[in-house]
Amino acid sequence: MSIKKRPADFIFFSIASFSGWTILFILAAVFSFLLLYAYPALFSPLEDNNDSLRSESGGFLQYIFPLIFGTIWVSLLAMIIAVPIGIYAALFLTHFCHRKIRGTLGFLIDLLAAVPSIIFGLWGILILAPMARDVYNALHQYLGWIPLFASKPTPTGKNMLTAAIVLAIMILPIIISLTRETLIQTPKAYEEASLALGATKWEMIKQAVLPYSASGVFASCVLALGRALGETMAITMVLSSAGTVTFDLLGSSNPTTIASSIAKNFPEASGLDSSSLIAGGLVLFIITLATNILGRLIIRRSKVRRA
Amino acid sequence: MRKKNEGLRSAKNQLATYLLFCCFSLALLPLISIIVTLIVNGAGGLNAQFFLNDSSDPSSRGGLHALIGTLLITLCCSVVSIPLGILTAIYLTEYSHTGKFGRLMASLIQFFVGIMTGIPSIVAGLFAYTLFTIIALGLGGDATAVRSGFVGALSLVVLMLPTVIKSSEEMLLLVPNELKEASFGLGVPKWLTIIKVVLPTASSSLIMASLLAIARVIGETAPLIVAAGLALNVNFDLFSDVMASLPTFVYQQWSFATKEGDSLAWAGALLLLIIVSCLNLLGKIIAFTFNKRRYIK
Repeated sequence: MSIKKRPADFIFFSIASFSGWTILFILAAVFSFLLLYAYPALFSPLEDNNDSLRSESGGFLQYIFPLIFGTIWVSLLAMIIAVPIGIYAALFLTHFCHRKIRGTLGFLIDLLAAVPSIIFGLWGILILAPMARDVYNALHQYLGWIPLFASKPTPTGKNMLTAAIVLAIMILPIIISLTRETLIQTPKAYEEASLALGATKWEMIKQAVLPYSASGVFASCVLALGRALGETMAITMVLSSAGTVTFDLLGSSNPTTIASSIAKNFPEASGLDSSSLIAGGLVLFIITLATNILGRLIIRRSKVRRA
Repeated sequence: MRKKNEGLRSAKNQLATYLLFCCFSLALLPLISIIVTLIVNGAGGLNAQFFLNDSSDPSSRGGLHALIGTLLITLCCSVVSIPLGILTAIYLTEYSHTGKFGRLMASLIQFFVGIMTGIPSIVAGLFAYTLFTIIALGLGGDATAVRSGFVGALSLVVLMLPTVIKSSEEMLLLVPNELKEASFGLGVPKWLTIIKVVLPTASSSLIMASLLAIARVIGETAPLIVAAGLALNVNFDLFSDVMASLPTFVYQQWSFATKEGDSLAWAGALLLLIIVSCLNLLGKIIAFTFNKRRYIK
């Protein structure tokens, strides 16, 4: 059993395990440095200089609450749009499209996932927003009795609905590729058994594929939600934000998100304003962390149950 | 009665098929629209002026500074994250099976790599910024001028590492055990086995994983706005002064809200899309040839 110890072996092992430790160290550093810098904004009293973010709203909690609302609201709207389309598109990719074009279509989805968020922002504000204006006017005219569409559509198109659509487009490829992974894991025997009993393809999907991969699909949606919560640039560019708390989708006075508040204010901020923004980043980090852990726990549990 | 029911079921099936097809087309529609608008609006701006000038001179604005910045920052980020990521993946696949502690470490690292993939990009930027501000304050330096290309690159490292680790780990797990055992059987030490057998076998897929990871971080905007700043001039020095990059260039030019700014923003966005697509395509081509070779074996 005893093998001659070689120094080179030990050195290489040390380098490799050192790299492993570095990862843990980096994550701990991210959390502790943010906390260290954010600390004054959380606990110190309001000041006159460089503290406009907190003093305008009356405190850190009053500053961060509307932003948390905006972050969650726009992400939920995006999920409402993206989840059904994403799951159906993934089903098309795994079970309905021709085997020969599957690879090509998958590559296009990967490409959509690789498009940088700044390009989505530019496209959203210069192409989508002007195009959607007429649709918004029609929505307001015919569905204005629904509170969501009650206020007059902003002529620039920079409203919550545009932001949600752009965000939905951005998380769509994530949902599609993660869902595809779980859908193709359905055992062939289940599918064939269902088809052999005379089910049509769609009935087979409903009876065999969806129940089997339900938890996996749910988990991939949660992971996509984590991505949506942290998205910055597209929303910063597309949403004209007033920092209000409203469910209204079409108007010109919209809630804003934590991430876009940081991107907008951080380059010019100093002193306690920087601390407030970094504390905001910490809050965002904790929200996405909770979402991601939830998603991963669901995946793990479904794996254990299957095994 | 039965016949009617059959018709209903097959009609439902048809309807569902069309619905799924529509949903998929709907998902691809934005991609097509983005590609078309970028080419229409941006192709004209990608001229000699764009590649020869930076944006400091109002009479001839270009994007040279952004291109240089993107190359430097991405290079710096890759030089740190790719070796570190691949070494961590080697630790996870080759060394973590020894002892209780090794297994605990491995599952801990895997869990935290999963967490790291979920870090919002802007938080990564804030981290790099606060880290260097606190260091600057600690050393008595100027805390207002910490933004630089290197700080930006560090924030990208936080975003790039988990992608490199995850995909390299998958690739290293695919290396057949027989190869390693043959090498051990010949008396080759473990470290030499890893360098001479495991890494060469997985080399093409490791290159692919690195390319895809680069493609992911090269388009990051938010962390660079926070950590590297917005610049108008060419800056070759990673360690001092703000440094532009293509994504921040697009944002900056768009925020000027002028006609010239918009056209430069479109040109920069087109260039960025071309770079990202090429990296993706290259990665896919390498993966394809690799897979083919494996099947022939």
